[in-house]
Amino acid sequence: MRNPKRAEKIAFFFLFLATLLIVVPVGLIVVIIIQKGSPAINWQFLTDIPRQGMRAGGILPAIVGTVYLVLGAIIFALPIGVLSAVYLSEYAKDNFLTRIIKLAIINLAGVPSVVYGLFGLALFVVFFRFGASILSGSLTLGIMILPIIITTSREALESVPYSFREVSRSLGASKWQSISSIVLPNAISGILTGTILGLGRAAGETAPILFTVAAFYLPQLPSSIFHQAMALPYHLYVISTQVPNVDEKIRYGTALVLLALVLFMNLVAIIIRYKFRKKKKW
Amino acid sequence: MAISEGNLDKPKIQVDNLCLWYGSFQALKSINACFRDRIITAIIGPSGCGKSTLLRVFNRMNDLVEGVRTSGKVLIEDISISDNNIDLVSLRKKVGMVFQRPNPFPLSIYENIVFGPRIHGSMNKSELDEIVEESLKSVLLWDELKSKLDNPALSLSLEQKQRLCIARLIAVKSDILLMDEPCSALDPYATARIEELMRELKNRYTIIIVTHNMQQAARISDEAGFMLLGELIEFGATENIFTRPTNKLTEDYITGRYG
Repeated sequence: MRNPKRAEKIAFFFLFLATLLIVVPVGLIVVIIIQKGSPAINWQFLTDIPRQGMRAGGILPAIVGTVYLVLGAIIFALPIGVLSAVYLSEYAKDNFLTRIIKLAIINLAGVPSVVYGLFGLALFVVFFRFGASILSGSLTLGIMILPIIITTSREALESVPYSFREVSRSLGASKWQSISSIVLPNAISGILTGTILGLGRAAGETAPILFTVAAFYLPQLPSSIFHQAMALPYHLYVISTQVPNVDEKIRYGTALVLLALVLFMNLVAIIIRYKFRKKKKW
Repeated sequence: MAISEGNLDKPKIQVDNLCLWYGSFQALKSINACFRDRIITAIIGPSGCGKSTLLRVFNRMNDLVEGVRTSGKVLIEDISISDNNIDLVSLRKKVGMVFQRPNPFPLSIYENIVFGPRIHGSMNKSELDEIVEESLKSVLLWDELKSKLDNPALSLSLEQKQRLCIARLIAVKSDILLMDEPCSALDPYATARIEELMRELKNRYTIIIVTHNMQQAARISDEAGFMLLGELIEFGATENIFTRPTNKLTEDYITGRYG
């Protein structure tokens, strides 16, 4: 390629094309789900229990179940994840123990989600005798999203300039005071980004909740964390493969609700993040 | 910290036979010096000579680096600061540091100044307001900024930022100010204004400035020390150091033969 201007144009074209190709599947998924699912969406669909063997009625128990599970997973994973990220990036010295911990986190991220399901079954359902319950499911999902939260929180903490810590210490602040009053507030938007990613994953996974919480069909809403619950991804799986003659629009409607729910939760986290960013006086 | 006029010549900081190692590298070699109260002492020398390291001994900031060892004695107002059990919080309150790059926190001007007092436990709003006013007045920023206290500190000019960093120390009632090349990020005009401020402040504070700008050292300091490869080669009145140095190495550096 002798002509640099032409080379530039060709490079630009391929780079742009590659980026554009990412947009296509995302756009198609959203368009198809909205197109096929929106006819199912009405007030009854969102607020009623499933009826006629899940071929009619609503999906309220599955919506509520997923909300509970995601909130449970975040309540469990966010504090543990952030605290361990603080330990790893601010306190831990580079020694054998630290390397073991880091290795464990990397491995945790690489475990297939169905293995989490089996692990949750063995540990929470059977060993701790929580049974198949919202508690077991939340803890299983929480462990699954821990590596996401730890990794993104560590990156966020490490991107806070060293000089902030230095000045803070030079003004007489202890290490923990420096972390809690300067480092963490400056890392919070990065930490929330990790939380958003974790949230989306917890809401969408089927395998980890399969053995630990998900109910095939429940006519009422769960009233305790020791109860089983329905969940949107599992419900979607059930009405798509286990129950014959379910109207297509109900399946796509369920998918649309799941998508909207994840988007809504992300939106909440994004608004919180925006508030924090505004408080930060760059 | 009321020190009577009578003992102004008494050393504020006394350094006896101080050595410091980073791992196996010896950065300071048997330093002996006295830093007097309410004057500006400059430490000059080429890059890597250990002058910043020496400065960081006085507020124990070297502790943040792993693998640092020291020997010898450093006394601040006759109290040894090298012991492991000294109170680092009160030491660092007393001995404040201004860094090379102005480094305000990404908070408002007000929040930057009250950061220290808050850490040290004062929470009372009117008390904090007073501290902010007093500190900003000390660095001659009050009139410019009194109506913009909620603006982000990072929107200030470099010079204002550096003044704000000094105000942050005044707010915790430091009485020794360590300045690590405080003007190297500033333009000549801003540098002159900060130097003016330093002259103003030396009536109330002990100031030690590290600089590799020799003109600056000559302009503002009362006493000066020349360091080379971890050793304090010469220490004395600035006038003597710059006009009739006793050591050949000092003379070579002053006259620009190296460095």
